Amino acid sequence: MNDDGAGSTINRVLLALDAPLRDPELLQIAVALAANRKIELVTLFIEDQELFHLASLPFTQEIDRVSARERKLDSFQIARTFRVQAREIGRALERMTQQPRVNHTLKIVRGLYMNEVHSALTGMDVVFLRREIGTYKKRFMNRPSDVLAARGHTPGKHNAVWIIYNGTAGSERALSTACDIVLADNRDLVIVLHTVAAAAADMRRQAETLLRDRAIKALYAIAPESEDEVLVRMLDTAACGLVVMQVNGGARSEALTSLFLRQLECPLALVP
Amino acid sequence: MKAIKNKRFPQPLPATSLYTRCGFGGFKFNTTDELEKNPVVVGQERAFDALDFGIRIKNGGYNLFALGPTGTGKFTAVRQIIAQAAAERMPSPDWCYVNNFNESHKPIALRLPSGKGCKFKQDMEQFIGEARVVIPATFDGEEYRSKAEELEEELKDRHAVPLNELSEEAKQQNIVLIKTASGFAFAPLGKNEEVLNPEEFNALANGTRKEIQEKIANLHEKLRRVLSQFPAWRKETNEKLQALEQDTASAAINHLIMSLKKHYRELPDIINYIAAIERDILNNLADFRSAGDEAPLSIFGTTPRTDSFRRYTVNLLVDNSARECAPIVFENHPSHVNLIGRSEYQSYMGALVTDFTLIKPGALHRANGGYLILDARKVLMQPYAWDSLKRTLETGEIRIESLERSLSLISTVALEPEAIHLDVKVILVGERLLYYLLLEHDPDFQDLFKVAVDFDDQIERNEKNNVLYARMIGTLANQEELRHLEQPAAARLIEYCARLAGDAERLSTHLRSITDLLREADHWAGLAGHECIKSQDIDHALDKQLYRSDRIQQRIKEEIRRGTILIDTTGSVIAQVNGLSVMQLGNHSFGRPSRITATTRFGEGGVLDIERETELGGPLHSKGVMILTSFLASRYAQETPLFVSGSIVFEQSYGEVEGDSASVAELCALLSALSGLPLSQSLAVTGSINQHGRVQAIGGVNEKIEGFFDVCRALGANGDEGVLIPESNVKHLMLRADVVAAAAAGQFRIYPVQTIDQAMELLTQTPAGARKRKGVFPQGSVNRRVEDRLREYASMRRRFAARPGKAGKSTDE
Repeated sequence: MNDDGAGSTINRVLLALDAPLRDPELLQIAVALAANRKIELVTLFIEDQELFHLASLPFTQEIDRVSARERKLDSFQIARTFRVQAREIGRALERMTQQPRVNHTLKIVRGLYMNEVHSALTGMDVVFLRREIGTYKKRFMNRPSDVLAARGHTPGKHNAVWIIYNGTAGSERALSTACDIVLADNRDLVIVLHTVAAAAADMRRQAETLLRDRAIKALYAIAPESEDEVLVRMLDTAACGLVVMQVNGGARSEALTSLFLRQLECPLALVP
Repeated sequence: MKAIKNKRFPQPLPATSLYTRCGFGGFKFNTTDELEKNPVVVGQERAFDALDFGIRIKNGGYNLFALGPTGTGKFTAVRQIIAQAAAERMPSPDWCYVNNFNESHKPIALRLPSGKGCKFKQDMEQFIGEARVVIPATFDGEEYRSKAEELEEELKDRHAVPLNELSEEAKQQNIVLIKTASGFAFAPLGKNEEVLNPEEFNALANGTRKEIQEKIANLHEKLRRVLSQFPAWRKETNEKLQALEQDTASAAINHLIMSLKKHYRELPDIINYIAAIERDILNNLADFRSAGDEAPLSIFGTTPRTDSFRRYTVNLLVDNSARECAPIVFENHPSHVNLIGRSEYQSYMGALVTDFTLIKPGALHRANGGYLILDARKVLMQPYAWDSLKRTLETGEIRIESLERSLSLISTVALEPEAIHLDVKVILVGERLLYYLLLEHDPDFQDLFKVAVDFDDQIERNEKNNVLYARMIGTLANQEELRHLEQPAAARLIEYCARLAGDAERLSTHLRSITDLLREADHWAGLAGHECIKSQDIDHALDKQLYRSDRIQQRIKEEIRRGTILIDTTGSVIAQVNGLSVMQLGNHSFGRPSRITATTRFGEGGVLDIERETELGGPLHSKGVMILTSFLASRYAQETPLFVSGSIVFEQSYGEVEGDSASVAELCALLSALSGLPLSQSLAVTGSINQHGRVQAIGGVNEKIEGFFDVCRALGANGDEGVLIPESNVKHLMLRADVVAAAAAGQFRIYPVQTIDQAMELLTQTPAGARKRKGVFPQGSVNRRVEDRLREYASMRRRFAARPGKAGKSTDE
């Protein structure tokens, strides 16, 4: 147990990827947390079954992002691509865990991404998710300029960690985990009070009480509990660095996770 | 033989004629310290006038060549005059080499007013230093980052719009747009909004499958069209980002640029350079944005030459900030590179590399706008230096060219720096011989060095110049920080100058000898505890100079004394006379007597010069012998043919004999041989003869007299000794004090002679005799005896020719 993380219960960290990370920020967060906690970082590379399904369809063509050329998708090619990507992820992990020194393990599985993530959640204290492939994420347009200005990063600091807090015991764990991440990687913290407006003040006091011993100053935002689309829009337009949320295995929690994965550009951290 | 009493014969010179003392014409001073100081080079009006003309005339080609013997103060005089001229001129401009941002191998030369170069260099260093701070700070600023992110967001939005629409359109048809590792694909969705697997798809009705395929094909086409626009949009965004970067950087450094431009607004070339730097910075912002990054690692212990900011360095080639007038440069080692500059190389990873910062100036750069003084001999001895100097003066620009490259000795990357306009007066200093050789053999020389500054090695000796010399001596003493001279010492020094000139009416301008003597006299004066240099210090210094260098002279004298070298100074001998010659060993010359003998006999061979036959006689000596042969024929063979063979030789002479100063002595020996009259051995003879028997001046008369005087003393003089010299040499006499004293005491005599007859009368104590009305010489006279002998030879020839079978044949055959 790390001395700085008094009160922290994080002992098992998982990073679930479906492709090499274009932006190494998530890897940096995960490594920093593992280093801070002096624990092993387990990386799960999921060879997405959906792509194999896609390749098995008789008419499937892939259009290259750069050249706009069509080419046939086939299972062998996808498998080959996944092997290359796995090696690439391994090299990136090796590089990132040199300093600070972190023990790490890379596991490769094939399956549907969300199924594999849910399977892996058991026994983990936090799971970092990032989907680089899969269903196209619709981008929200017409962003108001004030949202751009209120982005989570300020000069010299990394993108902020946003925690979805609803006052439950699970979300308190998530807040605690978010605090660990913030402290480990020197980030700002934004607490999204996911509740009705009337209860926001009480919930904020509750969160402040939890933060009292952590010496962390947080910003607060309110997102109506019933309007997930608004929450997604808020998170997307704020270009947050990481969204931390609690998952409890319920349908509501799974739906929100799927929604975030489909719509958000930023990575997720799920706290069981 | 005692002193010649015959009043008809030439009389010896009085002692006062043997040494002309120095007078100042009533100009009084105790020591030279009291005298007004004047330049150390005096009496060179012609040279000074030429110098003044040469350095003031503006036209090209009027460079100067200061010619004259070494040690006459040419360099000193040139420097003095040029220093005066330079003081009237403004300091020269400064020159810099800067990077040419378009063609880096052709550095640009920038001209700045004097003293501005250093400031410009500092300003540019400060500017780049500030830019390296300001630019990264600006790019780290929120304003730039926001704008850049806005552009990226704009691009993402631009991408998102058609993709969103396409995704939505696909969704309407129960098809999903999927991101793959490298692109996009469409897939049909099942009931749970998951991609159909092959089994599910194959389970669909044929029509449905076909319909899905058509929809996807249609979507593919649309997606392809959308994606094909992405590169162009990315390019647009990149251009916007680049423009934003440039605008941001430009705004960041604008105040710095404006400040520089304002400061140098009157210098268009500098303004252009600043504009070029600004463009280069904006085109290479990556260098500045990473300015704070760590230094590159060394490779094999060598620091990589990757300092991209080196290109903004100002190479201050010529810095005249410390000058108050035009430059005067003396280049002591005028090699090609020292004259026109060079591009140095650095070894990097086994290769030689260079850039504009490694350009080094030459003497021509440093002297540009002023004066360059060069030793002509050194320039000519340095390979290609003379050609480079001429080419530079011809073109009027200094173009740095690598000698190794032009000779194809190496092939590395070489610079071609922009040529620098040249405005310089070159003053070559050298010997006369060099000047005339260049004039004769180098056709360019006359075009480039039109002004000859001819330094005389002597000036007239008069009271005015004596005073000038006294002042010059005082100035030298000051310059050299020596003791000043008392008036008698100054006079003695001036007398030494006359002796140095070998002329009682001239003064030598050999400044080096004068300065050396002053220094040495100062040394001896110091040892003697004198506050000022006295005349005895001068004498002592001269004695010591002589002592240090007269080893050979003393050895010869010793050999004469011991009888190894045969010289008689007593008695009379037929056909034998003491001739006098001068030997030059280094800078020491001395006279020595040589025994000259002659023999005659009947024949038609004329006079044989044994020196010439053995190739020991030089052309002038041979000429002298031919002249005396001609004299014999002219005087004694007007009516009868000349049937005589004679020979003349320098006894015990084993080196080359040159000059005609022994021709009088040789003629005397020959006449003695013909007349049978013995010649006095207590007298020595010097002088050249012409065809009419007139005695002409020779050189080194003082040394010759002193040489014989010394030998006479060594052999035990009896007071009868003396020397016959040409009368025209009397004005050259500046004899040693002991010789003058002996002459004053009647112990040694100097006889001036004008003709061979006078010489023969003195040597034989017999009247030479002049032809009477009947055309014959008086009985018993020298000439009568000679003529009789020649007539006798003629008779012998006739008798010999009358013998049967011998007619027409020469006795020498």
